[in-house]
Amino acid sequence: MHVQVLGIVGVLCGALFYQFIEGEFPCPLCLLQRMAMMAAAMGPMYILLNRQAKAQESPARVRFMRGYGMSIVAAALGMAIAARQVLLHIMPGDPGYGSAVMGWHLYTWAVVVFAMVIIVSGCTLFFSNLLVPPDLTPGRSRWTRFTSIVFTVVILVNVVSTFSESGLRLFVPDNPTQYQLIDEVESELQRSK
Amino acid sequence: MIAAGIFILLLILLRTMHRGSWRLTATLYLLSLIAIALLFNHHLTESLGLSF
Repeated sequence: MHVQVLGIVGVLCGALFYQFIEGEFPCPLCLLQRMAMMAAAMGPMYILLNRQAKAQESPARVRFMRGYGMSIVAAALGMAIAARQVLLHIMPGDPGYGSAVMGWHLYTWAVVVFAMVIIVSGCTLFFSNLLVPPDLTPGRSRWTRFTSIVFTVVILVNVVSTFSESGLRLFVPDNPTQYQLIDEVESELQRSK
Repeated sequence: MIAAGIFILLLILLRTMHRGSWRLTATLYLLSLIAIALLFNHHLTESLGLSF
C-alpha cells in the first residue's frame, strides 16, 4: 500500500517537475487528472492510516475493501478525463499539449496509470483473503507517517500552484501561458507606484 | 479558484482520514468526486455553449 500511494505521488511529482523545471503550464484537464490521481491514492492511504485495532468500529477486511473501492471509483473518473484529453489531440498532425515523455504525452501516460490502478486494485481485492493486513498496535509506523507527509506536501504544492495559475478567476484558462495571480499582483504594484 | 478549492478539499479529506471517522471520510470523498466530475462536465460542455 505504501508503494501504491508513493507510486501515484511519484507520478504527481513528475508532473510538478514538468511544470516547474520544464516551464509547462498545466491545463484544466491536467489539473483534473491530478485531482483524480490524488483521490485514487486516498484509498490505500485510508487503509494505512486506520490500521490501529482499538480506534476502529469496522474490521480490517471492511476497511481494506473500502479503500480499494475508493481507488477504483476515482481511477475510473480519472481515466474518463485523461481519455477525453487524448481524444482532443487524436487528429493526425495535432502536436498535442505539452512535451512528450518516451513518445507519449503526459495525459496518455495518465490513461495507463489509471488503468494500472484499476487492475492492481481489482487484483488486490480478488486476493484479499491473502492480502488483508493485520491490525497494528496503536501508533502509526514511520513509513506511514512519511507517506502521509509526502502526500500532504504534494497536495499543498498543487493548491499553491493552481491558485497562482488561476488568480482570482473561477476557472483556469484552456491554454494557460502565465501565473495569473503573480501577474495580477505585479500589475497592482505597478499601478500603486 | 475552483480547482484550487478542490485540492483544498482533498487536503481536508486526508487530514480527516487521520482521525479515523469513516462517515466523515466517505462524505468528503464523495463531495470531492462530485466536485471533480462537475468541473470536468464544465470543461466538456463549455465549448458547446452549454456550460453552467
